[in-house]
Amino acid sequence: MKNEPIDEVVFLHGINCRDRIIAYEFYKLVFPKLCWAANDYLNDEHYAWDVVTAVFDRFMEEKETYGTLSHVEAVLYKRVCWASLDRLKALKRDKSNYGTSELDVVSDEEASIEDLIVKAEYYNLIREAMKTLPDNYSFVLEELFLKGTKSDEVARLLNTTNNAVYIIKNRALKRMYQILKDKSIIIILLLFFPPT
Amino acid sequence: MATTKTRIAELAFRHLTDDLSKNDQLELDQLLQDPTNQKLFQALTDRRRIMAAVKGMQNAEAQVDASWQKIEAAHHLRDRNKEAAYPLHNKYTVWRKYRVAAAAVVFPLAGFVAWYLWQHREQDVVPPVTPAASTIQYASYTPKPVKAYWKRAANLVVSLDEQPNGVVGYSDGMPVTKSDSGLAFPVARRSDLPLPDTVQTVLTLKGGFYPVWLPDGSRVWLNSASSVFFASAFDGSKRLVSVTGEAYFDVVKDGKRPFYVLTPGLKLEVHGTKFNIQAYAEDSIVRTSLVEGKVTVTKMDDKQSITLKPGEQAVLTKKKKLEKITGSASINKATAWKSGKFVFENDDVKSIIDQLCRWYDLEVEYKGTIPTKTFNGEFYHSDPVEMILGYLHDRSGIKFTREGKKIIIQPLP
Repeated sequence: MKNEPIDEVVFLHGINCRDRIIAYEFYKLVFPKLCWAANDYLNDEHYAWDVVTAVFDRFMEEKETYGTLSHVEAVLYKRVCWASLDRLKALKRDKSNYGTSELDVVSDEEASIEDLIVKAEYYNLIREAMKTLPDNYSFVLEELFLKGTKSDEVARLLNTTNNAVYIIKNRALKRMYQILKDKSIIIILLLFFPPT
Repeated sequence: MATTKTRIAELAFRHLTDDLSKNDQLELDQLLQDPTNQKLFQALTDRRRIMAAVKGMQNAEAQVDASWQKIEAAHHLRDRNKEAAYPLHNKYTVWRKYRVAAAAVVFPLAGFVAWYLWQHREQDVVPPVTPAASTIQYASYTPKPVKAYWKRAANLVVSLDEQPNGVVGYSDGMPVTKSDSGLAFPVARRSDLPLPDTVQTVLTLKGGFYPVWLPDGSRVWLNSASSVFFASAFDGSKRLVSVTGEAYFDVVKDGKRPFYVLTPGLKLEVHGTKFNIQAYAEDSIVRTSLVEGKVTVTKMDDKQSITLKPGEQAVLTKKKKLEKITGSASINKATAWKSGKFVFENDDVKSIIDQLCRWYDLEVEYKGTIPTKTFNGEFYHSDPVEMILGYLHDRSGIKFTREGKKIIIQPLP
């Protein structure tokens, strides 16, 4: 607790008390990441939303307390993975009953959960970093790196020069890299406190 | 393994942003000899996957509120089912239980009324006093006085109502004792033990009230539906406590270790003082009232801070503005709850009803437009709720109706 930022202490307290206002704020932060993790198994956004909702609903009814927010998140990730696997198996059972195609089931669950947490946090960092950037920065990054648009096309869309796009790209990357560097501690903490 | 994966994530990001140094590249080549690492690295650098993930998360973000509403609905449904399962809530059972008593009261009363009417048949008939439409329909209800819990780490909750005075548990090997003056956490620690990492929470439910002695000898009084969260032992540089709801602090002076109180949105730095903090989440405001000493209140987001003198209040408004109230601040009103009192000073119906609901463990439903009238008055926590509602009714055009634990408030027709 002593090394955590102040906001995290307040969040943790609220979560441990199952304070519904604070839990809602926390839920807003973790819901997209957990949904991505569930969707990675289920390959269906709506099923993923349902799974995460059910997992967090059960979590809110429990009385267990946690020492760090990372621990809470790690527990939620693990439960989402298990719940997604259960849902996947149920879907597979239903489909085999109707004689339709087989669904893949992840074989090495533990290893895939570890990877999944890293990937979810990583993608989320990129998403959050893009959200904090000025509009033109995030637009350029999205076009160049996520959509694969050529820089002269981006320059045309922004009604500017190639050189200006290059400068914006570098500044945006620098800022994003700083954000990633500062926040990578979350990933370390998350993996440092393995789920129980 | 954890650091390897984190490092791969960092290198993947550098790769994505064309920021890999030669050393990084060498390290990456080495790490990628492991097929598992290679698979992870590919997933983290595949731009189409990243775009799909970011889009998926954006879609999920748009669904947060809908998902939370489902969680809330399920929670309320469970609560209602629990209530329905409670036998006293079954109207038939209640009627069966009390029908003999009712008969014993009603028949003699009917006989008395018949005799009275017979005796006074020649006299002028006084018109009966019919109850007004606003008659308050509820039974007397006084909450239990304690309703407090000590929540230890590792899923252990001690109900302080049920425990007799004495040792009620241990905090890192030291006894935690309950007495008439509250729950006391050990001050003295064995010097051969390292500082514990465990945290303690004491919380009260609606209608609860509880005093706590912190590990430095400071005292906290918790009002209803409140909680205090702190380390089992404060370290050498600071004393950190987190609060939700409402609490009154009497902090022991310690020049070497400042005392910090955290609430959502605010940090208070305290130097041996007495103050009250009101931070109920549903109120959307945080009010700090200083009785003695000095307190610095700092907003967590923009670090704006103000220092309070005795008799002053700091208010974090609904719009997240930090304001100081100097002249009109009523410290007696803010701390009256600690003496078992409600003090209303120009309070509107909603703020009064919120206080009553917290203390008497009630819920409220507003119907129609409630007059924005303000009230003054002083009541004791031991007063029945209908007495206070009766007072409000007499001074306003408001009807109060009780349905179980719910009070329905509506303007008089």
